Amino acid sequence: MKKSLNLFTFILVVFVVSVSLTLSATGFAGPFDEDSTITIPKATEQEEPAAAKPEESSEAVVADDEIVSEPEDEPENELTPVLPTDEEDNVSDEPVASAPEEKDSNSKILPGYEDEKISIDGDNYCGQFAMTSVFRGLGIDMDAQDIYKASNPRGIFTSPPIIVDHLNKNGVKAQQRHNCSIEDIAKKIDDGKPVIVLVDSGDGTPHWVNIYGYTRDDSGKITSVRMRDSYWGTRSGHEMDIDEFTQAWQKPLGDTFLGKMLGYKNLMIDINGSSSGTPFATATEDNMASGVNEVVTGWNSRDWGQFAGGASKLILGLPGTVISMSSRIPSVLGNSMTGWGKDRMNQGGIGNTILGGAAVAGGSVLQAGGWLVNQVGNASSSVAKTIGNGIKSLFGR
Amino acid sequence: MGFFPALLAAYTIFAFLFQTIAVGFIAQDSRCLRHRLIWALFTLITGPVGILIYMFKGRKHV
Repeated sequence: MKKSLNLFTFILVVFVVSVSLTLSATGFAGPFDEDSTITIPKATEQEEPAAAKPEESSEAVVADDEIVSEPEDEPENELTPVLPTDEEDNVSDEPVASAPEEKDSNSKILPGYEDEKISIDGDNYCGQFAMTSVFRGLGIDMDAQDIYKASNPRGIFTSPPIIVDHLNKNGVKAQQRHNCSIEDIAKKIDDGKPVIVLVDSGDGTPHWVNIYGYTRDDSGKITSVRMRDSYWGTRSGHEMDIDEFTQAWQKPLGDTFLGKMLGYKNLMIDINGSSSGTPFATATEDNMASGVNEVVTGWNSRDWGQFAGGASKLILGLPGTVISMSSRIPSVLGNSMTGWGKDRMNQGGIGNTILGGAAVAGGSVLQAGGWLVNQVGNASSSVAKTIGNGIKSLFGR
Repeated sequence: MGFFPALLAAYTIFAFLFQTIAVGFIAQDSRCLRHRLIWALFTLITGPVGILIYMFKGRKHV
């Protein structure tokens, strides 16, 4: 008995060391690196987004004297800073979103979002920008800076539960959903509601955008989506090709190591969803991210209820984190094995078929085992999350 | 590495370290009364709660 426990301890130690080395390795591209966060560029360092297309309806926000004037032939949807203007304070006369309007026969664009004037200064406000866009589109007068101060004053990554929580607390019922489809987005827009989604803005940097429109081709296939966000659509709506969007939405953390480890995929904040709450499938990620968010935000704003809730989530979430993260390694390995096995099988021949079949079978077993262990980790994290939220509520949060 | 990824990475590493030390301690503890494997498993699943209960209920106190 003691021998097996020693072996178990040894395996754990080896695992810890390997995880530590991986995470601290030079060149490791963390998804929340500040170096790669969404930064609103200064006027002098503007870059044209790869997929930006000039839009006839684009309209520049009136900027202050720091803005370099644009050449007339410049694409109107080019990335430019959005800076505070006097007339933008407490904007409340913007159109309220309702039923979608059809820009042309194949486009559905929710009214009220295209030319919202959202003023933010600084960097890393994508979650707050997307929330502001939704609030204003729904007729709720909110300022991005106030949302920022309330939900993420240190400018770190805004976790999905923080967005859901902030929307719920300010009168917009929201639900976090995973593994959604493009048609799920279209259905919400058909119902007159925008959605906030998490996409990869490049190099594995997660980025929140507000989707409020889409276009179909003659065969009914969705060809593009329309969005407001703090990177591409700062001044007016940005049209993104569906292939580019699908890729960015499927892997919001790109192909980085942590992107493969974490389970965020096709994540959607469903506005006016059927119920509020966070899903079980990513309970560990949500618990970790919101715990860190709440500890940092609570400390920064001296809100001890929020701090205690976040700390409880992190401390009680220790086992769930260890179990879930451990389960991702066999899952990733299994996925690679299955892909390799399928390639071998496609090459034909008896040898390849046997080898490929064995790899597919072994990979599937690894994936199934990883999934099962992950559920245990998620269950443990869910308990930690519930207790953390309960502690927050004791402080009236 | 920025502030948030450093914090998240540090937390993940700390989580593994804590669990390793906690389970390792129970595995090697000469004062363990009985059911060593169950205590180790309990601590692996419940973390700080498990090790705390073990300290009070799972050890010989002389």
